[in-house]
Amino acid sequence: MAIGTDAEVAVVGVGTMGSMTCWQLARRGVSVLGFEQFAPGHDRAGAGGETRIFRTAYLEGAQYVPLLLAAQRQWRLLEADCGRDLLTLGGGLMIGDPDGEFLRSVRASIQAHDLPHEELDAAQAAARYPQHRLRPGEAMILDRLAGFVRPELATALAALHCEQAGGRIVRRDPVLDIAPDADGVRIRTAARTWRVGQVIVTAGAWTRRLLGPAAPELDLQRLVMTWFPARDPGQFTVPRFPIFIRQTDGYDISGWPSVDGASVKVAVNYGYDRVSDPDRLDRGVPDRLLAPIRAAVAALLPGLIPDPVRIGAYLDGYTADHHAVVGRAPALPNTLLACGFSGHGFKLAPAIGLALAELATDGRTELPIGHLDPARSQPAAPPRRMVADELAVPATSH
Amino acid sequence: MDAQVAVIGVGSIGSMALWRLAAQGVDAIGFEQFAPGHDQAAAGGESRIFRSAYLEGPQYVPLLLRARELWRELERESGQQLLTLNGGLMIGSADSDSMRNVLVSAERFDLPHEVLDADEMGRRYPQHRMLPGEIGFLDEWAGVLRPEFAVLAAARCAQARGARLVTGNRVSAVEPFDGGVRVRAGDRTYTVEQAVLTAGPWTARFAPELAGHVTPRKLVMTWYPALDVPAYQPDRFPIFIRESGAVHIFGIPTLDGGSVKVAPHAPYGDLADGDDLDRNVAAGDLDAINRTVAELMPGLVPTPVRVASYMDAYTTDNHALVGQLPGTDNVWLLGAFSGHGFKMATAFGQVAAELVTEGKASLPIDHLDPTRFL
Repeated sequence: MAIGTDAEVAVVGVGTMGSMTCWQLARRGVSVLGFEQFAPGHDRAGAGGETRIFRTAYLEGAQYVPLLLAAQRQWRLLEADCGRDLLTLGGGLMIGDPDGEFLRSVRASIQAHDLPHEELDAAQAAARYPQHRLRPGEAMILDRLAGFVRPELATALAALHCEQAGGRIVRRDPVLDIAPDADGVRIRTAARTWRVGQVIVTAGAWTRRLLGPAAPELDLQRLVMTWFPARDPGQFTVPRFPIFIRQTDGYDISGWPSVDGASVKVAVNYGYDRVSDPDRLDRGVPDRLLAPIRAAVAALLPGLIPDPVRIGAYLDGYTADHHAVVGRAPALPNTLLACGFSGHGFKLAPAIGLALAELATDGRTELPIGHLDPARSQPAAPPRRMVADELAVPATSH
Repeated sequence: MDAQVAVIGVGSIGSMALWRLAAQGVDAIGFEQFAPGHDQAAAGGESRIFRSAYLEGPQYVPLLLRARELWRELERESGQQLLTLNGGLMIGSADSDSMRNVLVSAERFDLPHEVLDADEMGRRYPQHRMLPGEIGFLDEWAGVLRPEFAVLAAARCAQARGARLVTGNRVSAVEPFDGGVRVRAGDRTYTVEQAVLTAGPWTARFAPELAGHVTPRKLVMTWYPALDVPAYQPDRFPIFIRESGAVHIFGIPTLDGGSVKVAPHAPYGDLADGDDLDRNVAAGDLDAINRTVAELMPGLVPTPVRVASYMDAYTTDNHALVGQLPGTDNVWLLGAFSGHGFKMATAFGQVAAELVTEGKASLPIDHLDPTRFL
């Protein structure tokens, strides 16, 4: 460490990606200084709501599969470091038209990487997973390398492990300014100014505010999770009820097995409304915005009562091409960033943390993240589906 | 007449009233602005405490004992587990009023309990860091209730016994007249013989004479990650209530296999009306509870991973309003349970049914008479 510096590497934002980056850096023996405006594990941004999906047969593109396989190994490593179960691989059902784009994309990942799976036709699917009311022509693909992770616990424990390994995390002292230069980076927080060798900015929705045009403009959306009571909870636990993604007849939902023995989380896969200021994420969800998820649960999951008993609001940032940005910040020395995970980042987090740690310490990574290069050109944003638009209700005041 | 009885609000108390009315063969219709089991008012957040040795006063014990019987009956009828009696710890100074009330409750009603000194607490419940002069009182008839599922179970059992439910429409007026009550919900008016007002945080709207004595308040619950999850499962971690100096908190074992609810007893703030609940909680407002968790519960990470807002109506003396709505002879009020009603909800369901059918209750509710404020 150079004289007069507080750490070799600073991580700004110790949330989903930042906590994993801190953990990966600390376990490599790098001196790390994390900054979190709240405290790791908080539920005020992207990570929250008890469970997130892990899956490997990736409908977003076969180029993710090696990264997902690496992520699975890193999840197991984090579990070993923390002594806790964080990833439960109970399989994952992809449900839809067997010849539609959704299942074709899933199949492309499976074929390109020879992934363990099962194709279930309508009759087999109905017999094995009667929790799902299938529509004519629907089929399932069971991704065996799928399941769920525990987001808040993983984030809190990764940060804790970083501290136990000698890293430092500054809580409740928001970063106000990041000033990189040829020799390092000056970071100003409300309390003081810090000097580090490099900075990794993993500030999610707040990234562009801190980095300016070096970070992509993100479309910030409010993601709402909803929990529904099960008529027979035993039908909805691991291993009888794998996580699922279902795209059919205009429905686009995901679901998770019950972890509390009573309620089942089922949520729409797109945003509810736009968030103009991440500091003002509104946790209140008007009843009228719940119409689409109620309708989906009533139509597709007869074993659930279609009135939610728990509602949680979170936040994620979408890039124009729906792929994250991970790597060196264009035109800024000693600065790396990762943001814009576009609603499908959590499962990757410990692998992204490893990639960032390697980039910071070795200048390169073996992990396949070329498609996430911050300098790539992105297409103009296509119109994105949102609950508020579909219901034609005025945007709320956040 | 559309029914013999209307129940206004099918939440914590209303769902149980509807169930007990239906069990007595009364033709009842329940009105719920959302749907039973919703998390928009008082019942929500996964768990509520049940306890029998009552620090609020021994006059509640008969209600609590009857409530316990009826929780088991609701479990049998619905086929769902709703109450887990894993024990309850009261932690505080040996000479405090609360601890004395608990001991009086336990002795007067012969409740199974143990008094644990600090050493014994340290051996058996190291999850709690004890302060000088503190003791633990273990109430064996205490544990965890599942509020959303209990409300839903009662509503469904009531329906199975013939009660009707009107959901998604808000009741805008309850108008008693000679020989009946008109209930306006949405664009329809229903006429019934009697009404039961179980409107929770909206109670004051329907009881204007008592409005000055009833305030809806916001309640914030917080969940913290456990470092050693098995130590916080129900078999090893009883529910607890703790009064340590200025700190008044309660806690519930983990139900999701990861996080433990620990929250302040005191409400977060007053609301003008049940419609004014803001679900947002400023991060800085959690500093006090986070510090308390850091100080008293060394096995938890003192950052909440889940924060949720609910509300309840409070009276000026923190005892509920149960009895005839003043100025009427066919409207019964059960409201303003002041943050400690859920555990007794089944017993108050029975009280509602008795008031409707007999004009009086067999359980002791004199201390809850609404006319005490007039």
